[in-house]
Amino acid sequence: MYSFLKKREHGSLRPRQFVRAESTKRAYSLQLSPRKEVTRIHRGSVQSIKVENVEQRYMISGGGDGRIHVYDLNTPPDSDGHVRINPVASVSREQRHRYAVTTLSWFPFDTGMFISSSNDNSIRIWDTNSMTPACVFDLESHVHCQAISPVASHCLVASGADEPRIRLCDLKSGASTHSLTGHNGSILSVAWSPRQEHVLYSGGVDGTVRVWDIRRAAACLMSLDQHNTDNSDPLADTNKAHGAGVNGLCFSSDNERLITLGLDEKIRMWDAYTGRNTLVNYGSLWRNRFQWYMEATVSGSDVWPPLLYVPSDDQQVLVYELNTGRLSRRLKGAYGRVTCVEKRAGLQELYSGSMDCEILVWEPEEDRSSSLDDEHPSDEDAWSESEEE
Amino acid sequence: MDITISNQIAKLIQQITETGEWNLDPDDLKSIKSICKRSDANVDVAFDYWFVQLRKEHAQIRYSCVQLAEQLFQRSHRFRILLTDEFPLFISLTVGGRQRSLPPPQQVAAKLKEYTLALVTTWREKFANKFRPIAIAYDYLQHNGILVANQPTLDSLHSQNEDRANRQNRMQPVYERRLQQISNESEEYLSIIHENLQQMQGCFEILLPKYDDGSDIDFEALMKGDIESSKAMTQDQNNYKEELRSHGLGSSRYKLEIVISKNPVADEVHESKENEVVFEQLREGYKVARNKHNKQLTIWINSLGRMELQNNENRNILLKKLLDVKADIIDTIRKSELLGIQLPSKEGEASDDNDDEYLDELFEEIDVPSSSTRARLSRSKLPPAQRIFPLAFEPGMEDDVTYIRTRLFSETESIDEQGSSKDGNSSSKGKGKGKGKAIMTPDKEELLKKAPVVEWGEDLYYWDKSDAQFNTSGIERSHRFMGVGEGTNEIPDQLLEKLRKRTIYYKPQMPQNLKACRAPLRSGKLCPRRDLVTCPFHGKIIPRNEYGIPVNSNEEVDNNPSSSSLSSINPSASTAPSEQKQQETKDSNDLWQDIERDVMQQANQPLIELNKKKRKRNKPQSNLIDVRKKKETSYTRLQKKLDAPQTRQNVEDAQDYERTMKSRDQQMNMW
Repeated sequence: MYSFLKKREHGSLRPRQFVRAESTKRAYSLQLSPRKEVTRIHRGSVQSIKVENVEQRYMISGGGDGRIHVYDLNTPPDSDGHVRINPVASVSREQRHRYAVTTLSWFPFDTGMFISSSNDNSIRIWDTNSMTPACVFDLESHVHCQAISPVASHCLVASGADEPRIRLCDLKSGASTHSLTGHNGSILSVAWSPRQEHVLYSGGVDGTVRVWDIRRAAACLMSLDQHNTDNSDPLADTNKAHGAGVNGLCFSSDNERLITLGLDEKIRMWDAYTGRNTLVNYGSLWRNRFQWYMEATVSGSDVWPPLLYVPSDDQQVLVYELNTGRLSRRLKGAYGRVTCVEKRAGLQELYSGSMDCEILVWEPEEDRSSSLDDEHPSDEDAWSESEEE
Repeated sequence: MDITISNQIAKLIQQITETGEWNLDPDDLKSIKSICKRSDANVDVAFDYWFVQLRKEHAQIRYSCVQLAEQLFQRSHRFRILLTDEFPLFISLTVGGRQRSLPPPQQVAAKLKEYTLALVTTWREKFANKFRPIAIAYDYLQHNGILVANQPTLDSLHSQNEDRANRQNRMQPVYERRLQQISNESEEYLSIIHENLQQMQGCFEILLPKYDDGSDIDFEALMKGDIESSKAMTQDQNNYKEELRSHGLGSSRYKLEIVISKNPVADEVHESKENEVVFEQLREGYKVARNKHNKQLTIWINSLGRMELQNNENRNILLKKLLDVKADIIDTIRKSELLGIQLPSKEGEASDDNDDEYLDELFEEIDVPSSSTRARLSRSKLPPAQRIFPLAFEPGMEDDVTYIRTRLFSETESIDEQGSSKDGNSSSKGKGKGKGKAIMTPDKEELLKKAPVVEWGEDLYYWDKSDAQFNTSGIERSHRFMGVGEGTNEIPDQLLEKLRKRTIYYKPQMPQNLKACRAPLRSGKLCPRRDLVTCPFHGKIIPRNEYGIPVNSNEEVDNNPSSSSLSSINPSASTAPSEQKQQETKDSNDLWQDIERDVMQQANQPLIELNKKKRKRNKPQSNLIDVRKKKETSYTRLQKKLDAPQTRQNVEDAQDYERTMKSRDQQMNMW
């Protein structure tokens, strides 16, 4: 680190490169944080975690008990040096979702509002300051996921529910504007394109991933095909993205790649523009058996080569190198199925929620040299003299 | 990383975790520690091997692994890092999770869980600040109700363990000494007991009546009060009836009243002047056996039973021996009680003593030859009236006046006894008495020794005939088509050959009274099944005492009347074929090996070892409980029987036969 600093001062290393080197190093040395812990507050599983992107300070978590908590990640440490992150605000018992929360998302431009979807057939828009629902959309069936565009000027929330159409709910009017049809069976995942504000991606239980342009009357642009078959029809019935349902969608940090998670326990990466499979092989070490939305995430833009964090059913978070598909690490620590991971890109931190109600904080390993002052007895070996041969 | 150190660690860790003991072997532990102390790389290797052991599906191995982990975790920082990285897996392997239960044996698994929970609690207090996984694991265990409030602490578990080990260590030499003492004492004492028992046995032989066939009275049956199964009773009655009938009294007009006493032995054997001495001796033996020997044996057996030695082999052998002897003593005591022998009362004791002294002076001990006090029933009886001509193979035939065999046989025997040379043809020709005086060559005498004695029959008539004439009447017979035969009226050779053959009826002899299995049942009774050799539920029928506990021991078999009667039941025919078969296969094997050896010698090749693969590695002695062994029940034994290839073959054959019959029937109807 100091040699990099020196080089940067000499001008032989550009500041950008220095940041990149340092954050990559940190991102690759993740471990369970020994000092930070998120207080165990959920009863039942943790289904969704989101960190807002405005100042990366607040985090919301939604649980299987239907409750939502807001945490301040910049909580100062206690007297013993431990950081215990307690919720700063919670949805009251009366106003919570009646059934499990499935997905959460922050309003992209402000921390004053967030959106939740739940198995009680509703999507709710919450006011963060009062922790009361500002608006409720009733979708008449289990909502698997919702998404709001991070870049768009329109305020449309796309929903994937137990029905074959995607409904778009307008925050401005408080009503659903129109619906997109084309899937067979329920829709397990939806995601807005981070670059084009009118483009929406969705994955259904039928194993297809569809790309929509919401402005067009014939909205469906194409259906992704895992075999990259050369045919003129981008909407051919034979186009399948996965062998089974698609229950997770996320984008790479440069917004050019779409990563889909399938119930066939395969991870696929696609070119977000052309819709072609990049044919990266992520192996078969990942476990995914349940029709719940899986929140995977990709490391921040400063990390190169980028990492893909995927929650797995075998109580671990799998860390893949995004571009090669090599399994880089397994983050072990949870005692239940891991349901969601969320990054805090600025600090290379990672938060994972699992079925055992615990939110685990993963942070880069501290430099040993910096923590020399507080030597703890448990750091030392304690061999007794008599054990010499 | 040095490969030898790696191998050494692997061996040590496997050794220390697979002993099956509650405590780790201190020497192995010390060497593991000293290796791990040298470098962190060694700890890495040790951790890997340790984890391999931990994954094995055996609670005892896992328990030892956790003990080892406690030692290393306390000392090595590297080990702490490695273990906390794998903490969720560690917890699910040692505590069990929702999907994963702990491996058998169950009682060890419960201990393992308890121990791990105590360990995690202790670690949390000490290391949770530094190692977050421990705190997470603790929270998880607490919130899932696995960690209960009054969990024993690690210290209490350790002190329990130590107490147990200490007690065992303290008692070990005491037990050893006691074992030595008992084995020394019992060696002398047992010979005295045996002598006494033999004497009593001899007395029984003298006192008890014998039956015609010379077999002993079935004491077992009498003791059980099992009148029907008693050979003695049935035969007795039969003989009685036959006797009556043979004297012409057997008729329905008479009314016979048979009174069967409860204790037939006591009825038949009375103390009299003749056998007073025998009774006296028996009484003496009974007193000693009951008052002294039995008590002493009980004391020894009790103290042996309480011992907890490290290797129980010696103890078990001694215990078994003593138990066998005790069973014998009890048996003998019961027998003598059946004969009406009781302990002399207090008053009579003084006079008895005087008598004894007097007797001792007068009489020396003499080996009384065994003889029957009862006159044997004579065999010469009138033929049974119920059948005119009994068949040749029936035993009653021998009594038939018209039947020649017995007389012939006895005649030849008596002639042989006289020592005069006899005609060898007498047996083969049937009536050789007339020509019997002819002088015989010595080689013929030799042949005669070997010659079998058979009854007279048609086959013997044709035995030495080379040309047998038929139709010797002289009247010519003409056939319708063939006309008059022109032959020599002789029986052709192949026909003659057939005539020389004999039909023998084989009558399988079923044992009259089968012994009951008498294995203890769950209801508290004894198994009443009577099978020839094996009971389908309890295996081979072996002599058992009144509680159904087997009393067999190979060296005592000869002394034991019950087991000898058992061996008489076992038909030797059933074992003979299998032995023969074994012999055959062995022979063929030998032949094959001979040929192989020759060939290999000629080719200058080393011999191929047949048993190379079969030889198992000698595993170090381990107390691990075999978790794969299934509990043997009557169901599994029956299953094994059913799965035997022989049975399968039989079933298949039966099915085949049925199928062919069916198809034949079908074809018959299709026309």
